[in-house]
Amino acid sequence: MTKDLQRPNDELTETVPNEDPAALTLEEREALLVKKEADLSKKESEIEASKVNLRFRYKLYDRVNVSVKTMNIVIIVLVIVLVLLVAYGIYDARN
Amino acid sequence: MEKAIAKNKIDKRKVSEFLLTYALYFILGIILLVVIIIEPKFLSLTNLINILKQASTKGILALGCAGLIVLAGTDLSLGRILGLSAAVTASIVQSVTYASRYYPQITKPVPLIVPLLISIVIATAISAFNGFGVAKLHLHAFIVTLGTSLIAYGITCIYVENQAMGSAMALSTFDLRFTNIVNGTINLFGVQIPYVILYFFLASFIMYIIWNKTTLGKNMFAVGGNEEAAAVSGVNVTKTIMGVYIIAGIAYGIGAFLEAARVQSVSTSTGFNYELDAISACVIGGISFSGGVGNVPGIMVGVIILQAINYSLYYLDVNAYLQFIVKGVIIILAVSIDVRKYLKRK
Repeated sequence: MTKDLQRPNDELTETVPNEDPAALTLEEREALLVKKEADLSKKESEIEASKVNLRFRYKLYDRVNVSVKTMNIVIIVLVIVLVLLVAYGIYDARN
Repeated sequence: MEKAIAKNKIDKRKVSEFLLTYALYFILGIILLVVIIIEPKFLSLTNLINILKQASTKGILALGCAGLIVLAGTDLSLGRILGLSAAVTASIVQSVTYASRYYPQITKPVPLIVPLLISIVIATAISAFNGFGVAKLHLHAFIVTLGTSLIAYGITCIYVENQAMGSAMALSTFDLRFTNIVNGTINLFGVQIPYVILYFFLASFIMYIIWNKTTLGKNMFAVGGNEEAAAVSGVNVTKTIMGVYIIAGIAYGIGAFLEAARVQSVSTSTGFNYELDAISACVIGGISFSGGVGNVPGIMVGVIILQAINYSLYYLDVNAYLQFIVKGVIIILAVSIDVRKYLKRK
């Protein structure tokens, strides 16, 4: 707020008319509209580009498409395999 | 009656849920128990200290790598970065009385801070490069770190084979001050504890502070959990990713310095497969590959459990090749449990 008050007068007079469409001529309004549309489309394309970037950096599990039940079976099988491997390893080492 | 049956069903589901979630800890605990039953001598203070000592340098590496996994990334170059930093460290700290030293022009012992800083700078530079690839170029961490892994390995081979003797022999015969940094002990309550164990606990404490008490730590979890949401909330994603990679690099540099002192011999194969140990310790410790989940005590537990299993299998003289298979199955099991948790949340 303090900063706004400290701004030089010419800066304020420059910005105020542009922000008030009623004080502009038809040509100026059209020019302003075209400028705003261009700004908007530029911003939209920037947002799209950042979305693409974010989407590209996908996470490791985003493509995992199995049920919890399937994973339960996988875990149980792996546990059995691990136990058998260790048991065999110990048996092999001791004989 | 129906209520009792329903309650019984819920209880059973809760038990099976608990067993599946903590399956890995149960299995690893049972394996250790079996080893203790077969070889009661395994449960000695010497073995416990040996396990902790071996887990310490890997633990420091895992602490660095864990941040990258929290960011939903990974680091395949960890082992080779360690190899390169350790080789450079080793070449500087060779005893000045050793005739075949790498740098014959070094005639006075170098202050140990110099090789430590050089090791940290090398590791941090490579890790920062990885971070740049991930944060700025939006490359997948797998690809960037795989590339830098090969680059670091190539440089290590060139460096080690560029010895004055013109051979590829391992860099050894270090200054005693250097080896004492790791192998020296401190008497705590009548027990001789190697310094390296204390470094590991100190590093864990510092990492705990970074993760839980700093803006970078909070942002790291935010970016790892949901990058888009973090970016929209005003988190500087690029800066956060770079920060985490640089911290990882510093951890690797320190780890390389300590590992060189611990093994007392550095060759081109130093650091081989260390990334797998670090990543598997993180996953066992509950750091999720889906990002945004994990804590420092979990990593410590993961590292120690994994080392205990490795040590116990070695202690029982289990076939070395079989040990690789067991390690592989443990990693796949840990990731499967992690995926299951992810699916449950989804």
